Amino acid sequence: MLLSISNNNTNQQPMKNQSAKQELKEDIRKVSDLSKIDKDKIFESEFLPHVDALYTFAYHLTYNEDDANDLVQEALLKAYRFISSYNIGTNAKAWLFKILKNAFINEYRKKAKRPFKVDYEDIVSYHNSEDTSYVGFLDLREDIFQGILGDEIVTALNSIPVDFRTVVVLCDLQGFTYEEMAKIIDIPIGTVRSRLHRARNMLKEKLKAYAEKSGYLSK
Amino acid sequence: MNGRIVHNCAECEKQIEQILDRACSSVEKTHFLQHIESCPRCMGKYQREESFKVFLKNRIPQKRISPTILSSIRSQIRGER
Repeated sequence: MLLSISNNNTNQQPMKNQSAKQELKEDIRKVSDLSKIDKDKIFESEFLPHVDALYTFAYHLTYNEDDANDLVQEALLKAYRFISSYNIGTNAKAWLFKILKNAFINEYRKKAKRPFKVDYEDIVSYHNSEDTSYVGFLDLREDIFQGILGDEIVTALNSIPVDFRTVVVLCDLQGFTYEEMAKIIDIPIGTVRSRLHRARNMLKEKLKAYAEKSGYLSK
Repeated sequence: MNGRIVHNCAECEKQIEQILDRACSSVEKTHFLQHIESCPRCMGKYQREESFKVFLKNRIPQKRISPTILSSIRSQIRGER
């Protein structure tokens, strides 16, 4: 990636005879010395393909389209400004998600001037936990949740604490690994695992309650 | 990765999510699959969790950024040095 971009400006010959190791070294080298044209190309080819995924993440963090737009713009501008910290050919998506998550914590929460409501019990059970207190599955029958509509899943997701819905969105919607999520949210892998488990159980509780309320599941 | 090898139903249940989230080694996965193939109860739990994961993936709305916002981002980038 970097080689093809650099070649446009430096007229370097294709390095067919170089070893794979050397090519990899070139690919992941820092981009601090790149021109604006090169940076713009990296931005277009490596960052912008993830813009809808970033917007989806921002939307599920805020549940407000304007705030989500602001977050995505801020994250992408930060990514561009700090493009020298990005190693070309590495995990751009995870890097961008981490920037957006940090922007959400630093800016959006501050701007909102209100702490997010997280139950004390929830904090105690997951904070820095390595899943020592495993809670079993809430076993939800398939026919129950298959009747749930998109609006209801959004309502259920929105009703659980933001730290919990974050892991659901990152894992089940975006397909990040535990390791990637741990880096994005800056928590231990064991906490990712236990938070995800709790989050899914919370969602099942909400969906089950909805099914009961709607009358197609007897209490 | 949790490093657990499945020998019984309790261990199996603890590992279901990690199997579905591709967070287990191939050895762990092999032991897990051997167990659920011989245990209808665990197989049922595994299938329900798999369905729930697919349900979340399919039903949580994926959004698209508006072309206006994308255009605004591009113009801001053009103004950056």
